[in-house]
Amino acid sequence: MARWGACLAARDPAGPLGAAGAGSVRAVGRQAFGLFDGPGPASGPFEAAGLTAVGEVTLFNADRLRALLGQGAVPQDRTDGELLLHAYAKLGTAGLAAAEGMFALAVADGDELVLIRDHVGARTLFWARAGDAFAASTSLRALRRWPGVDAGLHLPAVRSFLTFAYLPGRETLLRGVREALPGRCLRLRADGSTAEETFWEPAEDVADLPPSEHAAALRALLEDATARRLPAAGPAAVLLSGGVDSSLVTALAARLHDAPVHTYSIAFGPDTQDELGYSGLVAAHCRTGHRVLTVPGSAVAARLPETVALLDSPVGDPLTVPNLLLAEAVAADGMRVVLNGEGGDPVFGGPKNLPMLIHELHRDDPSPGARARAYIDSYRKCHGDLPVLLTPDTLAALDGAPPPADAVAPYLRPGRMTGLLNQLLHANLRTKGAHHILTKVERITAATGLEGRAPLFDRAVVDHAFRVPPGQKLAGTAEKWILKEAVRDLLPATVVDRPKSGMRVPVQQWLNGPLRDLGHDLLLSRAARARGLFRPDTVRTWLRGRGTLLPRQGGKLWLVLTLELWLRSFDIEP
Amino acid sequence: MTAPRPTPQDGTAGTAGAGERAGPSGALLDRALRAAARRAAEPGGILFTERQLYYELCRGLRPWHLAPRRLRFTARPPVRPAAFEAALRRAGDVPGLLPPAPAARRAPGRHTPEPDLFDYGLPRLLLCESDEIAAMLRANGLPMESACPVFGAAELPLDARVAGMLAHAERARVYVLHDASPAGLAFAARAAAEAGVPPGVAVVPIGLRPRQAGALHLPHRTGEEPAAPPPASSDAWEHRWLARGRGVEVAAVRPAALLRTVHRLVRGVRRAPPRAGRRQARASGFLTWPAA
Repeated sequence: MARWGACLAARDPAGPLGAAGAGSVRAVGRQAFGLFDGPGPASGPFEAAGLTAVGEVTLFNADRLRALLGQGAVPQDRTDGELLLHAYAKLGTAGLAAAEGMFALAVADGDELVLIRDHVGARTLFWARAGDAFAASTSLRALRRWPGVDAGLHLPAVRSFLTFAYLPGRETLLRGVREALPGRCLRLRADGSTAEETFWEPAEDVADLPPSEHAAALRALLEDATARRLPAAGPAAVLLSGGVDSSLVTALAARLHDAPVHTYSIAFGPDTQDELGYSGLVAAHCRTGHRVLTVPGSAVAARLPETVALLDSPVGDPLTVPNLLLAEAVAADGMRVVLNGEGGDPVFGGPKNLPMLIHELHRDDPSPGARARAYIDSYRKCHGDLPVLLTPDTLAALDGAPPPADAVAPYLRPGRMTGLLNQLLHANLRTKGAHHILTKVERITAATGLEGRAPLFDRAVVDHAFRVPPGQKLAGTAEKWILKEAVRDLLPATVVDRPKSGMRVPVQQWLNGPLRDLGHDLLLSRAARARGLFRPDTVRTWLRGRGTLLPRQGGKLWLVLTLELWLRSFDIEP
Repeated sequence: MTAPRPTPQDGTAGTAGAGERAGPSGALLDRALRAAARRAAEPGGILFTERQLYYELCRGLRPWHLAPRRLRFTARPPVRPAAFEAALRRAGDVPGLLPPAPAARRAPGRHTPEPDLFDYGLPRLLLCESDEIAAMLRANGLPMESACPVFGAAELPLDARVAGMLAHAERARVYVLHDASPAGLAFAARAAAEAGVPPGVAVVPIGLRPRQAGALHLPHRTGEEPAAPPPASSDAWEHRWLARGRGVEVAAVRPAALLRTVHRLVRGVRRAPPRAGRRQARASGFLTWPAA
């Protein structure tokens, strides 16, 4: 289990890597590579076609990539990382675009250090300027220790986190560290300059075909995406919530895999609403071995700090601990790969689009930024509360910083996507998809030695989604309509046509019960007050269940609690 | 604060006539107005209309809303509108107070160049008898929060493309928010036709009924033209109340309670039982009206 680090420096590039705690360090000219202990599949340094690289690489189309490079060009015994490096060496960014998988790669290419992140952002990497050198790693914690990296608290990222419940773009909570964007190839040069190339970005290419043709084409792509993510041998595991997305992945896995399929669902105890009826129905229908894990609030309280510490950037999602416990249960059953249904909403039009369409009906402000501001309001996190949540000093320090809406504004205007729905899906894919959903899945599963795979984020599936007319994705008020049509024969109608409900997480119950002491201790502690980010009076008001029009105090407190735990874990000072 | 003793026999309460004659002093009224503006904006900086501020002022001076719900009565406002307006002029800028709603009719989607805005379905839509209330609900973000467009009476009939979005949805519903008054009940009856709601779309009045206004002890207006005939669903108390020419505006409901209630009704949200007593339950909006 390892994560990688890389350095570009005019002199002694290996030195900072070693100082940051890396092992297996190897210098190649101005670049050096090494591995850090930690939950991840990093390997290297390795060489191919005269280039040296280090990476976390899992390919789902290795056979096709080998064929593209020429029969025999890359021997069968080469790792996925070496194969991807060959593709880059021979075809440049076109070789990266042709790959399908989860990867974060650093390559020594001439005098440049090249950072590569996969199409949709299934794996994550960070980079920083460290004095007159460049530092890069898949581990933010490693960069926190790196000599010369400005690891102070980046206040605009605090505001972004409270707005989105994750960090939606390049910024991290460390002032000097940036996250590489998915589908990009970032070239770091010894003179301190950088250049970014995009090797894949979704493109609107609507084909005006009957729904049946789009559904048939999508079905073939879904089958291919699922088949390529199944383990080569032995049982397969699928996380099954009971929603249509995870249900269709379960049904496809059951149909395509020639070994047993095990499904795993979650519940929060007898006093909370769950979806076990639906997940049980799907499991029975698909004849999977089904296991339900009940997660009590006490387990969430016990495991929350260590779970938050696993995340390179915090995610204010109350499902992180349940996700970790579920991953542990899957791993305990001997699995190494687990499929999930993530991606259906951002790619095919889930439930968050209607409020934005309604906003457009009423929009009084013609400025392009108005849509982006409404989009961040639609997250319903703490953005509207910032004037009463953040201290006056924090607000003053943020004065003049780029607003959070800047992270989504480029997607939400006519340009690459002409249709309004496609703009919303594009924004969702490139922000929440890459920086919340996939990064959370990857970190949580990696911590248990698993690899979480998401067929609905397959690049070809995503490309197809933007070929489908928007009215076949959101058909009337039917969300993800074409996706449902593509798999209608595989699932009971009650699952395909059920309204979206989402996982009801009893956050407020937890905060009133097993998390009460932890919440009060952390949020009102001397250390939290000394940090000076949050107004204690507002936190107290929310803890008493007051101060908001609708009962969302629990969700808001969850963000503040997550952030406080993360800052403590990373020992971040202002 | 002790609630005044109601006189439910005739459906009114207090000594409103005396209150109107004497009225609070200017200084008292100014202080009460500032306090009312603070209360109207709670929680979270709600934006409110001038009428809502007026009724909040009334609530502060005559807290009939604390009286038991089982007693059904409405009350005359303790402050003359002219006195309120004078106090408002003296107050200058009042944080949270919305400007008067513009009378101009504005085309939906007028700033949206994308071609597909009207291609999707709308599962719900809200029509308000009061344009001021429609503007207030929009200003406080209810359309996005509840996924429900909001239009006022002056914006009817609906834009044909919006009506088409309703027709494009399965089981769409149009909700009608109206006053508890003869005019309000008449608006609820004719709103669907006036709006051009497509056939097959359910129309659901969610506005105040007199009996709900009576249970909440809201301030009433007088001099309304009596309904002829009164709605068939009215009970005897409502018949008598309407026959006296009374009416209660939706604006008389606390702004926070109005926003919570409309959200709950248009989204079909179940109310959680109150956790800690009646006072807290009132603050959370639980004492609001049921679906009509």
